[in-house]
Amino acid sequence: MALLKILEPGQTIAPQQRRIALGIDLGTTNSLAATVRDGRAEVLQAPEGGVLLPSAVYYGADGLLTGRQALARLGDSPQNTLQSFKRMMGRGREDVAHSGYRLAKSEGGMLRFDTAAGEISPVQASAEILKALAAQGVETLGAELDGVVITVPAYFDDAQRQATKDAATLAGLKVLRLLNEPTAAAVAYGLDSGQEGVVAVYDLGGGTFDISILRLHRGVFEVMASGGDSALGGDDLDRAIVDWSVSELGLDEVSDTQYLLALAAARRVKESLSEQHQAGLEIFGQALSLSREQLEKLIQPLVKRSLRSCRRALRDAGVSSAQVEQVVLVGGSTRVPLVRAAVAEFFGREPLFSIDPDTVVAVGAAIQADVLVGNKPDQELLLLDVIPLSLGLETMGGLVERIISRNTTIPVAKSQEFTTYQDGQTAMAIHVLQGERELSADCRSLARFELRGIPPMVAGAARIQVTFQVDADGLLGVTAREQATGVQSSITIKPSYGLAEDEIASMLKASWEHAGKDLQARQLAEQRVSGQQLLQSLQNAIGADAGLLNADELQKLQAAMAELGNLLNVCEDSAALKGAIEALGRHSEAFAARRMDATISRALTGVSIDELDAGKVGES
Amino acid sequence: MDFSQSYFELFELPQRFELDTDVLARRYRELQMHLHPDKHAAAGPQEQRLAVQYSAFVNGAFHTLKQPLPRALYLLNLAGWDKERVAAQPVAGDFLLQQMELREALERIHGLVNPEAGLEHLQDELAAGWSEHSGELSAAMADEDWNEAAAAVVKMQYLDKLRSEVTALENSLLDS
Amino acid sequence: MGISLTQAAADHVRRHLQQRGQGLGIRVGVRTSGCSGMAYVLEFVDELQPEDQIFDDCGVPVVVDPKSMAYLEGTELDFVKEGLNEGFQFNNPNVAAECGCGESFTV
Repeated sequence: MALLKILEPGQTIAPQQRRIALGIDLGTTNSLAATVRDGRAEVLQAPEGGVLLPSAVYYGADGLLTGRQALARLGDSPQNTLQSFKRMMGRGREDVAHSGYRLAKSEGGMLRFDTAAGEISPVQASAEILKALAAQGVETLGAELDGVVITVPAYFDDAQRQATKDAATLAGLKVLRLLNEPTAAAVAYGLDSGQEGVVAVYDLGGGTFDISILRLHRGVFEVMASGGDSALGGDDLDRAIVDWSVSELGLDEVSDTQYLLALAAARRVKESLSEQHQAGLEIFGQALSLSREQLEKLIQPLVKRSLRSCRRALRDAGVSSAQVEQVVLVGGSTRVPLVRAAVAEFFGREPLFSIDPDTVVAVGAAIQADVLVGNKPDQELLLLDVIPLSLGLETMGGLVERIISRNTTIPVAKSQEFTTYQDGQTAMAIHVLQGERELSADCRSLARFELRGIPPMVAGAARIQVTFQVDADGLLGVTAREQATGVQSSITIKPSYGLAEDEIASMLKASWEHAGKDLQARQLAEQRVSGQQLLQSLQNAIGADAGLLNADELQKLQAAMAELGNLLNVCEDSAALKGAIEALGRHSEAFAARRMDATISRALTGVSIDELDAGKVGES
Repeated sequence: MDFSQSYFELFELPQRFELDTDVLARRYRELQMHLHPDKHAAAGPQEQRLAVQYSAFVNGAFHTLKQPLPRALYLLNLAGWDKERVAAQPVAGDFLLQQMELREALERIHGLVNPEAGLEHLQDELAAGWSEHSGELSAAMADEDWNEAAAAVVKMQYLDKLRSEVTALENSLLDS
Repeated sequence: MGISLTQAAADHVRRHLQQRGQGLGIRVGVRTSGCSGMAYVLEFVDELQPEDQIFDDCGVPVVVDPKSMAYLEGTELDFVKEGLNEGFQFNNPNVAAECGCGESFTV
């Protein structure tokens, strides 16, 4: 039983309700959500039946539809029925070879589909899927959501991750964490079996391929390496079938619309061939027959490509395939018999697929969401993930200076010093890149920004420290500072393939107005919730560690809390509330730091006692 | 957290080259079990931000101390040897000669009938060199002979660079 | 019946009131919410509400609102030390179930 302290009048806050959180697998072909109820992870039923919501959005002149209802419009309106848009998150027009869709002619930036409802970015389409899943969650659980964990392919780069987070913002969801899909699957399996040792997760989804090598040790899931291909998946198997059909039928030209319909037919025949040895397909208005053997020949090169990534990931992890104790299969495409056989042969052991490969990622995400939202403060579960691709800056001559290498454990912060190359230079352009190649032109451009206000000095005298910080979502933040003068230079970041903050704000406004709802009321409600949460967390902190504050500090903090508590009841201005919440946050910063430091000494004391028991202390 | 403290202080380990990596790993996990942002996801934004900074510092410290080469560079740095000074440390001419020979062998691999065997031979030579120079490094570090230690570090850096080129070549052979 | 304080609890409340320099006594009560329904209130009192009940025979004034009284009848407030932790604890005969976190209960 918790021991109570006497609080100031009116400061008792209702104790934490069990918070509601979803794990969402936002897939290329299908999406789904899961949650933890009564200590068990369960997958949510979709309103249209089954658990999978097809990742399809119909943007017609007559309205918007998602899931199976959207797919039903594929036949009469293929150009307005968007699918596989996950593959185009954070991508430009030039990155997509042949989508079959009409793309808007805008120059640069993220690509947009040209639909009957206007130009739509992949971020907006993803937001619609997230909204549909969230609505399903609210309906099933009978309460508003406190947060979600959204899974992303481990091999997603920064632009793709940021685009996913933007989609959640557009859908009005609070993202607790972006979680890598293979890591989520490992959580679902690992917690289930109490597995220890090295595990490989082979995840072949609809549009992306991931391989992660993890070490499991007493509740710690340490990703040693991850690799993959964010443009290799079941979709590509379908494309191989379509291309084969085109040459088999001797067709010269195929319209985009025919192509989109053919892809759907190819997917069906591929699925049948996982069960049967021969199947017919209706494609381009003609009948063809395909055997499993023929299919295997068509997809062999793609499977080989995935095994190359496996080999590289093993090498990065510094383990041999013999040291891998378990192989887990994830993703609907691992149902293809050839894929299973190839993985078994490569690792020299039969892979595990005891948990449905379609739902395992959402289940793992739900388990992590339950912990992150605060329902299980004492859970001995820790995920140490890595960044999949190196991060760097463009330097003279178009070369890349690497700042953070791939497979570095996150969060991570690294700094590097740069200097000016001209006398009196006061500005510096910085180009942030991600990838393994040496030339900047071969890497992915993430953002460009300009550093201004460098004090004029002779060339080479300025010392500009650029710091890259990658957070636990795998998202990069960049800051720059001139060391000699301490000038924190102003930075404006222009994402190369993302949405700018004001774009998101205006999309959010438009979507709320479209739904006939009041954005202001919503924002006020959000600020009230976050204010309550801050008060609650400070209350808990005082309850646990009041001893870290002297009487005067405690009194001042409590007075500031009472002030915010009062403001939350009377203030109607969301911007003012936000300011007050931030002010209290700053006020409590030193307290938060002292608590963290106390945590460190407690943590190490605990270890030392363990080591004493084991008779190991002082010896090395 | 005092970000100016040494990584050895952070993990409460003696400041020296030889260390028990099991103890290091255990203390690292214990710290992250408390400091990682996931452990503060339900806390206020200040605490979350601190958790990212603290956790990043602990990650940086762990990965520096875990591997011998970064650990040696770090110890040299604590002894007043920055990267440039280490890099300027002269190494013996016969070592450089040997490096050139190894590089030539690497360039010849593409033309070999059996490139795999050539790669394997090269990897063996690199591994032998690595273990020789890490022995030198341990001895120099134990004596706090920074000149010798820096020379060993420079040699290991040469080998490390060559090893990554061998790996890249191996990848490209596998992919072709 | 009503509400009572143990000697240790009364001593601590008195000390806290002295440190604070003001206050009529302490307010105990319940609030609905929490994972199993209700949570305790333990606060200083600066102002009385019209319907408040006051128990004066505990060594320090204890104030309860009538709604809470129904759930607290017969409750004893104690002050306990558990290891490094110390604080007040409600011994409530009406409690049917407590939630795992110990901060809320049902009757």
